[in-house]
Amino acid sequence: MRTDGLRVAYGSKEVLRGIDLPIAKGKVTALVGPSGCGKTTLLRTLNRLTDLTSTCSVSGIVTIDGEDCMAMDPVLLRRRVGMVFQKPNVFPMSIRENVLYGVKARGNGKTEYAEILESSLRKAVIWDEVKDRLDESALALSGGQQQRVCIARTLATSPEVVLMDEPGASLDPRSTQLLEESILAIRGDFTVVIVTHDIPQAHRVSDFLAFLYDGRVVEFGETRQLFAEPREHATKEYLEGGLVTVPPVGNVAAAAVPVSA
Amino acid sequence: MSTVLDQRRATPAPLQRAADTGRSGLLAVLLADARLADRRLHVLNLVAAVLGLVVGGAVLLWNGADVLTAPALALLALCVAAPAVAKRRVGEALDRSTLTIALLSAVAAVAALLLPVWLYGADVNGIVHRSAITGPMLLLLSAFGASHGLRGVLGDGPSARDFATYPVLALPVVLAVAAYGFILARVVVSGVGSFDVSLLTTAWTQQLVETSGAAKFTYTVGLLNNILGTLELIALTSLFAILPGVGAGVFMSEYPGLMAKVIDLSTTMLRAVSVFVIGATAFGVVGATSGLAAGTPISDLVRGVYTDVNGLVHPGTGSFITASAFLALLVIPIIAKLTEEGLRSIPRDLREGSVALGTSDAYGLRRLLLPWAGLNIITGLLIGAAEASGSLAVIMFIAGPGQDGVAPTNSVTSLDYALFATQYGLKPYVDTMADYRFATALLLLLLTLGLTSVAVVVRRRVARRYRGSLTAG
Repeated sequence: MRTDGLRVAYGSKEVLRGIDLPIAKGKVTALVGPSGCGKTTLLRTLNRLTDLTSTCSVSGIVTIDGEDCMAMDPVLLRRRVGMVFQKPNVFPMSIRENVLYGVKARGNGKTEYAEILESSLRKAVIWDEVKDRLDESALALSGGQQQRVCIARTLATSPEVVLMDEPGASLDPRSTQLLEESILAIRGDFTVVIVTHDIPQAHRVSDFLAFLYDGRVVEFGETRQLFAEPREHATKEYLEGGLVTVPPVGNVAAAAVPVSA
Repeated sequence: MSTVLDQRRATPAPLQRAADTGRSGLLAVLLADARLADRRLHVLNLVAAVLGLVVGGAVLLWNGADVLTAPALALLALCVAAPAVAKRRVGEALDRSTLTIALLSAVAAVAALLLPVWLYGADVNGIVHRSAITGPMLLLLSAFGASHGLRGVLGDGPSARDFATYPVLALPVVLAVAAYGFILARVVVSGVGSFDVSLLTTAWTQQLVETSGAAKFTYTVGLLNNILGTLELIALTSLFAILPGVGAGVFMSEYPGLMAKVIDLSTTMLRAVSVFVIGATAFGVVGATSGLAAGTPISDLVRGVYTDVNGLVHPGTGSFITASAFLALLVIPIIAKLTEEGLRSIPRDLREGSVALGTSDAYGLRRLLLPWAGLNIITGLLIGAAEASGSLAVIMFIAGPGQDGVAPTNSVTSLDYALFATQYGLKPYVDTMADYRFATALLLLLLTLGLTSVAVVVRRRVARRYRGSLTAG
């Protein structure tokens, strides 16, 4: 996937001011930046959840495998670009039905259900915890378990891209650890874009890192490199302390980094 | 903090205050432990208020209690004022609410003594009119007095204040429950007395019998068809109402726009229409088909058919189908509103979760939204069913005694009709059924009670299944 000159506004308030971002296939791309910098909006634009907000207007180009996302049927786009939310949002139904919710919407053959169920719960590192209680309500699970069921639910529909909006924000440290295990386990099979406020987490799980500030990508590159030698002062400040005292100026081109999008 | 407490304990505040204000002698000694004295006065206040509640209740039920109103109010005024006066004497601020209650009670006592006699006279009629004013007045003031007394007795802390609102909140509830209890008791006692099992198994019919050359009607009495008819009305009405109701609800919640506004406005207006207007319209619709003979599809559907004593088939006065269709007009807005509310109550992140999985709106509606709103839809149906079984006005103009049976195209009948016909003396029905009036009322009561119980059980089950842990966690 990639975005070119992506601009998003809620009403008259511009939230994204021209985002050019390549998202590498099969890799984990982390979006970091202070609150309100547009990370979540960027994520929600990638699978057009922004369509649900009537005041939201989008311009610019978003493509997946070269196809224009904005011209696609949004339902079909979301089948290719799944999403895990900040708060676990399991449906009020059994674990099995939760995981198969998206699968059944596509009318796949019934025979595959058991297989899809197990493999996606395994990828989300929760199979062992729930394999004996698949028909119990997902609401009975702990928050961390619910979040991993949400990941399994997204993986079950075998999307190409998985968007994660601060998936560990409401979880305890142990659940966060399992969550990260899950992200590392699916890397390669899925393209992952993760928004996080947890900078060490971004360091641990991501291959590429984009630092956003005030609706612009300040710096983008390989995670290792950005942590080792950031080009921008603001990036360095943020990655080291989570604070930006000297705001960056302008939009920095990301094209210099070779990525197969 | 602890030092402050210690200091207080060392010198009791009231004593300190009594000393500060320079009071001495007997009064100071009496009020040395002012808290205790206060408390006794508050107990007195509470007792007077409870007495007021008892007298107030008695006044409403029994004319003889009328003479006690004024003394009870006067006592209340005195006893409410007493602790306030005592507090004032030890230098505490004057409690305005206490004084207001005391003052109002005193005024009410004088009013109870003078005004009604002046207005209505002293005869029995006067007493009845008077108690209708003084009884509730006494109850209300006593409730506030009791609240105040309770607060004082409990020590006037924040929790005591909370607890003391109890009598004020409880009074209207107790009155309403008492009224319901009275009605229920009357229906149950009289209903059981006039009940006969055969009412459940036979239908009301009339036969033409020829005895010694003269033709004469004889009647079989029973409520079978009325009971079955009521159940059928409930079933058919629900059937007619569920799809339009749910559909309108879905429209209002999920497809905002001009159409949704129109639907919203129409359902609101439909709810505001008098049931008598709907009933009259039903009558008009039946009348519009009056030229048609029995056997024509429209006539059979709208008017229904009825067979006379000679075995001849005539168009009826209105079929179960017609009645249900018009009753559905009452139920549709209920279901629509509740469906809309149910759909709107779905957390936004669940909706987004569904959409983000690449599912269509229709799929989300079927798998997630409607099951979620199911609780509301079921509630709407059950409230609607109760509404249908109790909305006599809609079928009043077109119903009959139900002697032909309860096929959907038979003339409509229900328990409501049996009550109505006996109460208003429709002949020949009243001559044969007057004795079973209360039995009919009892059956209707049991039916409504049954529906409500089912509603409660279903609601609880569905709530636990779909929303239980979600609201808990």
